[in-house]
Amino acid sequence: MKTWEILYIVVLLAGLMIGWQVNVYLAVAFIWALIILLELYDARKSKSHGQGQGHNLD
Amino acid sequence: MDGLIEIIVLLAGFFVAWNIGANDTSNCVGAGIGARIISYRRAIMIVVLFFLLGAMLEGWKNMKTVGEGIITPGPSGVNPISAVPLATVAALIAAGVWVLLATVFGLPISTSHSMIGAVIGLGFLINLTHPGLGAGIQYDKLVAIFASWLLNPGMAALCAFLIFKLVSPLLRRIKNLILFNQVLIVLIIAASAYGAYAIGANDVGTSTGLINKFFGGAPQIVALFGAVALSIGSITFSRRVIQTVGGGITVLDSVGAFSAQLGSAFTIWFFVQFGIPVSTSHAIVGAVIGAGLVKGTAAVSTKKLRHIVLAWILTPIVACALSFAIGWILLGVMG
Repeated sequence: MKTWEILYIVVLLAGLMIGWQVNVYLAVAFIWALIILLELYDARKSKSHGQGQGHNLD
Repeated sequence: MDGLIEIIVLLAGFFVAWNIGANDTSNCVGAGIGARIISYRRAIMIVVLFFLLGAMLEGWKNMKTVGEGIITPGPSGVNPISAVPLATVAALIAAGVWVLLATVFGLPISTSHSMIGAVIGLGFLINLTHPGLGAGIQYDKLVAIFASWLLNPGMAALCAFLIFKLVSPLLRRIKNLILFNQVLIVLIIAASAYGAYAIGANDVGTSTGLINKFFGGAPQIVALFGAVALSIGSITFSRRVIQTVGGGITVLDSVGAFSAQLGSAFTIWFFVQFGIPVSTSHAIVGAVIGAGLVKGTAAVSTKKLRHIVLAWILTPIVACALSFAIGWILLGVMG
């Protein structure tokens, strides 16, 4: 598996735990925020390396 | 023992939703990936975000149909799905196993048909083994569902065809090639997001309806559970079916990919409004054909279509039989 795939799964499972223990809507917000941040980070990192569309975490 | 059964139901439910995610991701982003408009990774990001939204906002509609609309309690008022937990586990396993087999062979089968078939098998089994519960099967609801299944691919094809006819001349007016590509990318991403939303609502409801009923109704956390399982399925196991939908059925151009995506998304969402779980695979294959027909029938691979149609017909029958057989064995061994 690629790194980004593992990170996505970790974020999703962590979100499920938050939903179970705290609040379902907080869990959805958590998953949305982390995945978007992950993509922004990767796109920025790729741009600084001149690779176009981000796949540094692949 | 009760705690163990609950864990098994959750695991079986996760297995079903994971399978459905693996099989149905192609239905909202396959055409876009096939037309090389969007990368696999970006597509998965959109899928995950919008599966969650669709599941949370509208997943309860199909959840109600699958959990309460087909098998109804008898005069005693006892919930048959909770009363015979091993049969419920069997139904979930049957639906999941059949979807898994189809995914391994790269066939975009109907996951909704698989689940509905398994629920019908569950109903037959409960009636046979626990007649005292007096559980009923709502045949009028099933007739409405079967009618929608027939209507679904045709409606998706028509929508995709009309969208193509409407959008194509508008896009042709854009003379700047760079602007044209940018507009197209935005349109396809928006259609994929809408598709993921509609599939999230349709599939999460379908895959977790039994779990929701089993645990006595906590639809929001069940929807989150289903959406997470669906997303993990799409991350880990969706590439093969995407290859079939994206390039195997017909070679779509970018406008065709957009039309197919939007046409199928609208069709799925339309049926969700009535709480009818439809096949997202039927919708996208119908829509891909509708968009492909603009180029003439030669663009559609008939051999691939024959395999898909065969899987469509077999799916509810096999899932029903599997659900009944696995449940019969489980009840015999452990019941």
